[in-house]
Amino acid sequence: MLKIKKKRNKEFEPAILVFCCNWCSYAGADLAGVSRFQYPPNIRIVRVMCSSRVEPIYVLRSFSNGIDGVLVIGCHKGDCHYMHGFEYTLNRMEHLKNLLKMVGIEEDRFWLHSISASEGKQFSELIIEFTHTIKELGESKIPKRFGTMEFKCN
Amino acid sequence: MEKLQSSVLVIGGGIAGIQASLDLTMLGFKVYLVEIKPTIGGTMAQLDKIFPTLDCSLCILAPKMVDVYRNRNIELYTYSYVKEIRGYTGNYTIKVIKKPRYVKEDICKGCGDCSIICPIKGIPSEFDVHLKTRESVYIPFPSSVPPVYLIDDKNCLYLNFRICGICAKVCKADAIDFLQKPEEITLNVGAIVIATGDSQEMPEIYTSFAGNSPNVLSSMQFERLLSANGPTGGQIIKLDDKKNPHSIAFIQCVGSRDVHHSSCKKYCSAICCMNSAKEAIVVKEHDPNIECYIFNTEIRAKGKNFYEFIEKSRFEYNIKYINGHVSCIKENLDNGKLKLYYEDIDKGKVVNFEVDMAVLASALSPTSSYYKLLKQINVNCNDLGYLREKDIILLEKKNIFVTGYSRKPNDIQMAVAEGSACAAKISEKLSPVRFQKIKKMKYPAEIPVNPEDKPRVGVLVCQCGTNIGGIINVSEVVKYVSKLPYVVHVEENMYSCSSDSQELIKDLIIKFNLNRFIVASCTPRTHEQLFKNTLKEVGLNPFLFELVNIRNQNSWVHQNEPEKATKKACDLIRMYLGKVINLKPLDTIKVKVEKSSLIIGGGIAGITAAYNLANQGFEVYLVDKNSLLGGIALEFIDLYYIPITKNEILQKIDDLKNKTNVHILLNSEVVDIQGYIGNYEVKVKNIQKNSEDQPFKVGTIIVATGTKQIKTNRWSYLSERSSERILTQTELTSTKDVDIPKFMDATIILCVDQRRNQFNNGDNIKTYCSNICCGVALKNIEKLLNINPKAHIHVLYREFQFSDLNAENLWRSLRKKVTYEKYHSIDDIKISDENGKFHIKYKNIGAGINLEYNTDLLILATPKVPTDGTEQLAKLLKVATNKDGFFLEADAKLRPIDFATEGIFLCGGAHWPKWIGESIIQAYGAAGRSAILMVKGEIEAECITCEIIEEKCIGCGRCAEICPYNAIELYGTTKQMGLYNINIQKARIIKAACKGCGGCIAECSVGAIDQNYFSKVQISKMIDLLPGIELPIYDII
Repeated sequence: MLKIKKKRNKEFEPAILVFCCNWCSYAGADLAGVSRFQYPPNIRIVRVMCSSRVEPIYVLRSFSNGIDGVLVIGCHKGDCHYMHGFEYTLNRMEHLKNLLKMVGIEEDRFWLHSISASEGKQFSELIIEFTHTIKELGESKIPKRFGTMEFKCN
Repeated sequence: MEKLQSSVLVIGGGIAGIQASLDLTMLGFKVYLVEIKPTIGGTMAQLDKIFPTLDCSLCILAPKMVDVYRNRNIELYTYSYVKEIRGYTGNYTIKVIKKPRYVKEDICKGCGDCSIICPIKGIPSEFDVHLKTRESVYIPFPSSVPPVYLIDDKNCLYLNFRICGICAKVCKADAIDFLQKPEEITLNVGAIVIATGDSQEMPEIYTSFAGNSPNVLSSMQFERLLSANGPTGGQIIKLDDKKNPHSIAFIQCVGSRDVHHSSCKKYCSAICCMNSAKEAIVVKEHDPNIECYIFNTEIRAKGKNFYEFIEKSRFEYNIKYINGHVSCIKENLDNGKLKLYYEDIDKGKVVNFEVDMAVLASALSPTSSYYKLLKQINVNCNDLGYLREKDIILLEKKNIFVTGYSRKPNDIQMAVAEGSACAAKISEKLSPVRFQKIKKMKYPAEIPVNPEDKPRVGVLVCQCGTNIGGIINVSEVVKYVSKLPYVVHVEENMYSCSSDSQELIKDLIIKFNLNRFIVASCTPRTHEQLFKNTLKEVGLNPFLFELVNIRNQNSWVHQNEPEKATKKACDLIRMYLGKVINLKPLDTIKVKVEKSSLIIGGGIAGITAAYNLANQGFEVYLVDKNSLLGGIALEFIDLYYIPITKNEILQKIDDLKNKTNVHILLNSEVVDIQGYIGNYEVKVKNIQKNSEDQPFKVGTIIVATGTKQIKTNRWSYLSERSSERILTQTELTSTKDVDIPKFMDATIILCVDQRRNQFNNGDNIKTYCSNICCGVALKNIEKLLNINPKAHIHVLYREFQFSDLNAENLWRSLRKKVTYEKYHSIDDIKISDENGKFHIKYKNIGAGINLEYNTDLLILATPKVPTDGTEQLAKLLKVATNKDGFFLEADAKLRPIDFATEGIFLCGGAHWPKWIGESIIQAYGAAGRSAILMVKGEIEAECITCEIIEEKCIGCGRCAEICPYNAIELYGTTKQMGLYNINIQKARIIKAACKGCGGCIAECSVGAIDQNYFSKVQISKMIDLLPGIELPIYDII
């Protein structure tokens, strides 16, 4: 039994969605690249202008699609390109965490973090840590659901 | 009249030069930016954090650097210097020498293959102040602008010995050119801006400071050590044994404020105290267990809320300030520590102290290239190494402007204001030839793309040499993408950013009739605009494009996992395809800007701004509450530390009155302001007549309401009987010599009711420092000695706080004539009446004893506060004030004269108490910033904005509440409900003011707001497509 579990853990490649704000954390991710700080290839970054653009519903939607982990990265407090954006994000995501608990999604599947444009190393470390955490947690209980490339015109 | 040139030469690409260049192009002038180093960015690029906001320095600078690089009207000459300046005012001929990089600037892709292979390693890096090494072919730092490599000709094997040349072989773009020669370029310009910045002398010259020890660093070296992209990746370790230090000493005034050694600077470098406090805070944030000691003789924190920053470092971060002058550092070979010998000023004896690391705040001075330039234009410096104010004025008459650290020791905030001020002054002088050399791009008519049209997507997957192709299997990706719906064409190529690829993209769009495009290559932060412009050139709306980052965030960070990286690239393209098919064409919105400006406050700042704008040809409305223009400056008998005289101010006021485009509204106040950037409607009331004037429209608003000095009610029991013998500094300055009561002994008390600390507590004590009292006190001493040369003058002070170049000298020369007496707490100063004199009793810190004496005249340095009505005005303008009631600027460092709300600007004392000279600089800056908006008569609003769907909006107003730019307004409307029409409220976005952060979207509880280019549908689609794609039956057309 133990053997099988170990094998499964090794094979499990989590799907992780990361929201990055354009000015700080996305730039930090770019710097990690320029400096060649390696991290696991499980994350897919979605760029938004400000972390406050991330509606809590997106996180819920990700989990309901069977995504194993969601990470929202904004700027450090006070660094925001739009002045108070990250403070709004902090507030909203605190509420969301409670909601996730109620729904029964493990707390550690969703992290909120700050990375500045000069923190390439920290970005890669964060991703390593988060991926490791998700791997420990194992696959999401919600089955993966594939999307359609439908085109809406409205 | 001689021919004016419509172009400007900016020498120096630091923050002052960058700000001046960007402002100048927006004011309609061509800019040649010459920088001696291989990259622009200057000192600020090397900093880790900036004070007092503790923001990441590069984060806020890098976007400006990229703006300069992309700007079509800035010709950037890096690694170049000015060889010759000839000609006359308005028409200079400049010879610039461009040093050979041996790498073709237009071809190099910045991939770094050459640097990896270069056999010459271990050259000390200039950017990291010798703490890190680089190769012979190198890029100064990862975000360099231009992002191009260069070969160091002193170390290159090929250039010196004709062997190696391996970099030329590995460069896939063929960018290496060993045959490059220095190039001479001739430029014709109408004005010159000198912004050569500062340099820090290496501490090696201070042999007594153990300069060879690896644990003694200069403050700039330490800054690199703290930086996340520095030599240790932001870890604070000792460079010799790589262990964490337990204690760090910051030593102030190393080689500055020193009149005894000829190699040292006599002046104060102005920023070191704040810089060291900032560095110590960053250390504490890394590891609170590291003890930080700051050895200082006096803390000089000159600037907005800087004093509070120092106090914060002291109490919140537990950084210890030691009042002592360090004379020598020795290495203790037994334990590897550093032994500091210093004079403890408070105790009056020499002591020693051991620490692990020492950081020297060594003197900053103008660069050597600055002095070479001054020789070329035939001006000399004073003994401090700076230009005299009168020479600066003379140079400005010749259209040569000196700015930034080369003008005066100052911080980034002033450098930015000065950069903008230079642009405004040049704009005034060259306004007849505006827009003559500005390049405008002409684009073909847009191909109509209807929302119903089926998406036809083209995809280009970039190999970026081997950067992407070496890890990701690009042909596999192409194969995968070709199977996805709506993808009409996909291909791979070597360098998507090269100019031939741009032609390829255009051809593909036409050939396959594409209406969406994806490039999978590097980061949108640097390259998105390039591709968007290409789309524009072929007539496709630039917002039908998306750049997928498969280099910086994929191949570079997954170098050992090629298969997974390939899958990631496929996933990312699939997700972004989901977004791209839902993109809609966006139009750039143009907002009309009235060519007129409202200036509130007719003091020296207001007059300066009005004068500048009026000369540039704009309508100006100058509103002041008083019956006379000139503000507080005209009340003064003498003006201090500035080269402008009262007569010149009066002359300017007369000039203003005679101008037809200037409307001076005296005895008036603003009662109502409605509208947004470019279109404000203003109502002004005459206080005397109590009548409202005709409302008028303005495009921009400048706030210059100034400060005033308040009185103290400490010792109020005295002032009833002898009020004419107790004066504030402002009162003394504005009293004529003959009206001052006779005195034999006078006392100036500084820091009355301000600079709150542990000894001076209480609600009536302001937390901040009013910045100028110490300097004013020196001038007042001169004034008092002028009246009565035999008088004895006491100055009771806590810490002298002047960083004005001349103040330091004046303070020294006055030392023989007056007594400077240090006290700790204002509560300890007891004053009583004694036979018509004041009897003062206080504890003297230097002597450590209580002193008592009688004095005739009391001069008090009470706090400066914003003028009355500031709060009301802030409400009218819908802008913020800080806790002290001063107006709050958009960013303490890079936008010191802008408000967060666009179209409103700030200058002078309304921002913070400051010298008249600084107020004038800010006023010019504010005038220039507002002229930028007015000069074209229209501005382009941000395209990526939010939109409110009217039917869904319930008018709760939560979005308007959180919008940081006041870009959402609520309006009343009626709704028919059965038989009744009821009044309801709805929100709408002011597109001109929206910056597109999208913060309001998540706040809206009914989902009535959406964002262009990052819409709900687009982001949801990306989330849905992450796990995979379910392929329905679809047809490719």
